[in-house]
Amino acid sequence: MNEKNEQMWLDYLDGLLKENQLNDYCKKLANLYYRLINCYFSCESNTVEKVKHKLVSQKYGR
Amino acid sequence: MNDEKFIEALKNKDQKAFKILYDEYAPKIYGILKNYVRPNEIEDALQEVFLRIIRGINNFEGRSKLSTWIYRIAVNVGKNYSRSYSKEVEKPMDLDSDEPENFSVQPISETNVKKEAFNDINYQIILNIMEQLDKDERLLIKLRDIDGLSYNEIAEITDLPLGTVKSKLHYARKKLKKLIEEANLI
Repeated sequence: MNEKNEQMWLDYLDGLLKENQLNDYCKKLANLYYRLINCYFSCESNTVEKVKHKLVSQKYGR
Repeated sequence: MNDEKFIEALKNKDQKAFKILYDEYAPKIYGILKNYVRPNEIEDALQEVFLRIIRGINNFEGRSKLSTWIYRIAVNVGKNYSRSYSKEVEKPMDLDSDEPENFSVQPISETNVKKEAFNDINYQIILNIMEQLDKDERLLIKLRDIDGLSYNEIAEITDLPLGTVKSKLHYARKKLKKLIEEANLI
């Protein structure tokens, strides 16, 4: 990726450019970037629900 | 309900308000904890964060946004867990003991999250890529590119100067881009 494309991609991440202003390569890269980080940081709803029930049963720490 | 009324409701131990707070923040906090905490301890850590929120809400004076205050608690709890793992690794080995001990820190890659979540890309590849970033880099990416926080909020949460947040995030994004390209995913 050349410097111009890289800057374009970084500007897009910072909201300085819209998706339709990106070239195909940057669009693909941005899409992949967001899918990857969203997948990595995704949460297990089972765990979230389990903790919620524990807190509710303790009346939210009362 | 505006922020002020919402905080008041939390201070009055309003169960409904806590449920709203939990539903909004638990998934976000989970992502932060995943950065620091062993998979089998995330549940305890998540509970600890909310207990700290519940117990500390009466001391919340509104000097920062409620979300910033909550994120700070989550990062602190995560870092405490992470520090305790470092101590375990540094613990001197007891040569007289017959008990087998595991001195290694369990990598995030042993988590049981859905492996097929990324459609066409193997989940292990995602882990291999993300684990080449350090914890601070991953945290900045999470806070900015997933949760959409401002640079100022991130600086407040991480206790880093604003310029450092910007430059570190810039470097982290470029590093992640390079890793994606090197993995031939594009």
